[in-house]
Formats: sequence, C-alpha cells, structure tokens
Amino acid sequence: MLSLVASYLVLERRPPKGHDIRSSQRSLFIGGVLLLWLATDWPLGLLGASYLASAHMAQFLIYTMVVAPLLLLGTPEWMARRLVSRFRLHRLVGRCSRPVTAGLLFNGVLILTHSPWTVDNLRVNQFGSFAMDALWLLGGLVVWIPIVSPIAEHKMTSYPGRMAYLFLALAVVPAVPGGFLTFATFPLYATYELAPRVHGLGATTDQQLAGLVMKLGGIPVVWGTIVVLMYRWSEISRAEGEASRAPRTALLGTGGHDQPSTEPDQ
Amino acid sequence: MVERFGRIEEARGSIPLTSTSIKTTQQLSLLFKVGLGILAVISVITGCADRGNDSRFAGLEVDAPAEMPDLTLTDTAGRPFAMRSDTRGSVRLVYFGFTSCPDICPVHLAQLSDVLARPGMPPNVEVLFVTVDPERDTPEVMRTFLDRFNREFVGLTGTINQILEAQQQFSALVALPSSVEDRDSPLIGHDGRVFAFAPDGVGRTQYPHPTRQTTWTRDLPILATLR
Repeated sequence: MLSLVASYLVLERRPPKGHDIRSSQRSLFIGGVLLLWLATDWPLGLLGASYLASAHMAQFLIYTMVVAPLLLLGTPEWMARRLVSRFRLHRLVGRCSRPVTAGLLFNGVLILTHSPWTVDNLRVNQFGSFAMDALWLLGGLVVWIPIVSPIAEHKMTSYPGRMAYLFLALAVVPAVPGGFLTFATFPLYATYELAPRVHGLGATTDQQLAGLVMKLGGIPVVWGTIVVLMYRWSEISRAEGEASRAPRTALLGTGGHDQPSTEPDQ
Repeated sequence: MVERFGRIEEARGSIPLTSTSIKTTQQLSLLFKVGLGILAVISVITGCADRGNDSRFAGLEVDAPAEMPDLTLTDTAGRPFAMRSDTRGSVRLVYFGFTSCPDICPVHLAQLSDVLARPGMPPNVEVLFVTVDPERDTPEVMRTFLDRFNREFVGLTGTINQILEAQQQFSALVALPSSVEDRDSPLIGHDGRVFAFAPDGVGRTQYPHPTRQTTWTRDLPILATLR
C-alpha cells in the first residue's frame, strides 16, 4: 500500500506539459488507499479472514464498491494513459472495459470468491487470502471502468446505458448469492462455522448478516451513483435544449417579434 | 436460396459430406464422447461417495460399541451427579475440556448450542461438560462459561483422581498440561472428541473437532431413537 501511494506521488510530480493533478483527485486516491488499508488490516482483515462471514462480506464491499472507484477517480487521465502504455495494457484494458465483459468478469469473481470451496481453501492461508483480496480489487476496478475510467474511450458514453449497466452488474447478480447466504439452512463456510464465536454471534446468524450485507450493502453506492448520473443526464439534456432554442430565439428576434417563448423546459 | 437448399440436402445425407462437415461431425462426436466420459466419472465418484455414506452415522463409528460408564462427579450446583443414571432416557454428549480453552471447547459447545436450538432436534439431549482443569474450573467458573452457550448444559467436576478415572473409563486421551508455563490461562492438551451415547446407554459414535452442524443434525435424531 505504501508502494502504491509512493508510486502515485512520484508519478504526479512528472505530469506532461499542460497537465496537472487536481488536489481533489489526490485526496480521492489517498482516501481509496486508506480504505484499502482499513479493509485489509486488523481488525476487519483478521475477522474477515478467519472468524466472521459478515466481516468477509464487508471487506468485499469496501474493496469493490468504495476502494476501486476511488482509485479510478483519483487517477488523472495522463497518469492512467502512461501506466497503460508502460505496461502495454491498452488492448487488455480496452477489452475488459466493454460493459458485458466487465460485468461478467466482476460477477465471475464474485461467485468464485464466495463459493464455499474457494473460501474454505483460500482463507486458510495468507497467500490464499491475499489472492482473494487481489481478485476483489481487480474485479472492482474492472467493473467500475465503464463508469469512472480516467481514460475517456473506456467509459460508456450513454447515460441510460451506464445506469442500466450499474443496476445489472452491481445490484442484480450479487443479490443471488446474497439470497443463498441469507436463506441457507446451515452455515455454508466451514472456515466461519468452526471458528471461535465473536461476541457470541452464532454461525448461522453471522451468515445471514453476511447475506444482508451482500444484498443491501451496495445499494447506497449503486443507487447514489445512478442518482448522480441521472442528475447529470438531466443537466446535459437541459443545456442541449437551451442551446437548440437559442438560435430559434435569435431568429425570432431578427424577425422583429419580441414575444418570449412559452415552451416549457425539457 | 440454392445454397440453403444445398446445405439442407447435405445435412440429410443425400449428397456426400465435405471435409469441413466431416471435421465438424468428428468434433461433435468427440465432444459427445468426452461429455459421456465426464458423466461416467461423476457417476462412479458419486456412487463411491454414496457407498461410503452407507454407515448409520455421519460421526465416527466406534468398532466396539460400549456401555456408558456411570461415574458420579459434582455438578455446578455442588450436588453429586451420576453421569448415566441421572440422564436416563436422553442422548448424552460427553466432552472433556476446560473453560479457558481458546478454540476447540468453545467451538464444540457453540456448535451444539446452535444445533440444539434448531427445529426438529430431539428434546432429550444432555450435554455433559467434564472439566480437565478442576483446580481453576470451580463450579461457579464453569457455570458462567457454560451459560454463554446454553443454560441447560451440565458442568461436572471432581478431584484430580476422579477426573483422571473418568477420562480413562470413557477411553478418552488423558489431558496433559502444556509445557508452556502460564498459570492464568493454561494450555492443556486434551481429547477433542465428543462421546455420544444413545438413550439405551450404548456409545456407538464419536464426534471429533471439527464437526459441522450438518453432521450433528443428521445424527442426533437417529441417536435419540435408539432406546
């Protein structure tokens, strides 16, 4: 994590001519790294790795719903382009940023990393836990690229498309495994079932809590983003409407009619 | 259109197949065979797994089922408690542990507490927790510890010799204090099995650590019927 911040700070000192980094972008990136640290380190990291399925799910949400978009929003376009060309990732990122591919990849990661077999085999050692964390972060970055990519051509252009994508990729599919966890009769993960209880929280209750976190935890982020997108879309539509009316008003003005337009705003 | 009709005729076999279609047929046939092979392997594995589950219990079945010893220890109220005759008609789950155990004991007890609270579980199940650390596990300490899981769990203690004898009679591994010196929170190596006895008093199965809830919920109703 320190290397992530250090690389960012080194790169930001060498912007190309005419480009600079906004302080808000720097804050977003550092905020993302701080949250990444909070989700990975004690106590949430330890609880999620060995004791509580609900903590595991909270970690997943923080990685994919908060950290990943913050890191993307905090990266200026010139820096992202430089990184992508330095590591020759343009084609790969381009392919992964297609909405269908990104949605499938993210939900594939979601299902894979929440299957009992994967959790019970990966969570038992540090490398497995690290692999799971890395997969979550990658999955989160991939799924958010079509919405908040710093590189313009990787972003979806249509606002309704972006909203539909967010709803389908981040709200619909996660509800399915979330439902399984909430309504399962028995604890699904041996790792959490056979761990010493934390504050007397039973294994089944913990799993139901995990299911609720998965189903409901992302709602504020997804719907908050959809509301922001809808607002921007309406602003753009209004601006376009005003721009298209302006020449007509000018035309009417030259014809000597000074009556104001009675058309309602679009 | 002619091309389309030509393809339909080809598919019907009225004209000879081209090399491309032969290749496709071969690939499809190979795919079909691979699919059949995978199905065969799965059915063999499943069959083997089913054969392995033919045993009556999901827990460890003992080679020679034995009668439950009827030792008398002291419960958490300070009264004498006969392990067999005071629990007649119940499934008895006997466990040797200690209250400052960091992992195995609390997990076993929490699992049992969760399982016994499930609908459909037999009401006549007695959990008997015998301390292997009678010096520190006073009746009060044990009661407080067990109440964290279930107020119905029975805590039993005795003299060091009585506890030793109990472990031997249940064929449990005798608990030994760890070489690490820590008087406040000692580590004791002890048997991690739960010894199960049906209402008829015979011990046919044991449950090591870790035992999942699915195992308990499968076996407890079966055990309760053995009268």
